Amino acid sequence: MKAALKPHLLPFLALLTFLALTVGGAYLPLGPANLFLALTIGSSKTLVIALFFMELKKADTLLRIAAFVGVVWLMIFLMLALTDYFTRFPGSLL
Amino acid sequence: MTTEEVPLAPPEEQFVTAQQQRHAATFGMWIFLATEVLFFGGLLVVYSAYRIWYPNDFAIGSRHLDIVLGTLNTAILLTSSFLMAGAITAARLLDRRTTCLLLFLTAGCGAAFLTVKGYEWHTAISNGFWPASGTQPHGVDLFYSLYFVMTGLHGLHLLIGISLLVATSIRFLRGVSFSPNQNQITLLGLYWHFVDIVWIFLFPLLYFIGRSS
Repeated sequence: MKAALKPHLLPFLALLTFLALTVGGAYLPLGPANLFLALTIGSSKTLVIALFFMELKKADTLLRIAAFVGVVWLMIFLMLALTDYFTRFPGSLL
Repeated sequence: MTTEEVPLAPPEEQFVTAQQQRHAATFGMWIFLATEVLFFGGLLVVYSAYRIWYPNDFAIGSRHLDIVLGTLNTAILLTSSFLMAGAITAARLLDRRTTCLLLFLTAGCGAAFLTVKGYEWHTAISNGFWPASGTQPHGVDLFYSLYFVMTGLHGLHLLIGISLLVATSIRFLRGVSFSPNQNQITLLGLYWHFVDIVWIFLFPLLYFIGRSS
């Protein structure tokens, strides 16, 4: 049991620390930056999980590209939709 | 740890080496996960658009969610990912008992998450936040529509993951397909961690709106 869990302890502790940070950060009066902070910490958590638990750190380039491409398509998807919603009406830009 | 891992068994006949077989399997799983990103991505786009249009209603809806339970659930899922990673390491060390124990514990965490989520759903519905109840502002309805659909689809993914975890550990306990290659459990781990990552983003997007003001 110990031998199985020990190599994963450090990433796990990092994840719990990020969780504490993100919940605390939600109550800081940062305005729109609250969302940015939450998403940055969420991305950091994702990076820890992807690199260590999902073994992308040890993976070759093909697997890393496959993982990265999912995120890239999501960004394109979001960007195309939001450029419309941000600009469709005069004054709708946040 | 890698030095203690057991050498791989001979691959299926269409592969030259066991490494190649594992590589093909994980590559396929990552492609599947990329399609899953887009599956949840559609909801994220709808969410972003309506959050921009109804910022105040989204904040009202979000403040009625219990952030303590949300944090608890996030911690449960992070723990489950930790246990899942441990199960894979144990499997590669050919430690069958530890593997099965950790798989069951991972499934237990998933079940605990769904129990808490069910309680939250129950509270939200009893408090009249069921969408289209006709008693709340349009934007709050939209927020709760997205809340139920996003957490519902995430819960469905967890349910599938829990079933696979239990089925896999029962097979391993019976001694079926517990080989040093362990592609099945590696792929199951990738799926489980992905579902965890989805929640990592749903949590702040649903629970954190307007908390600081």
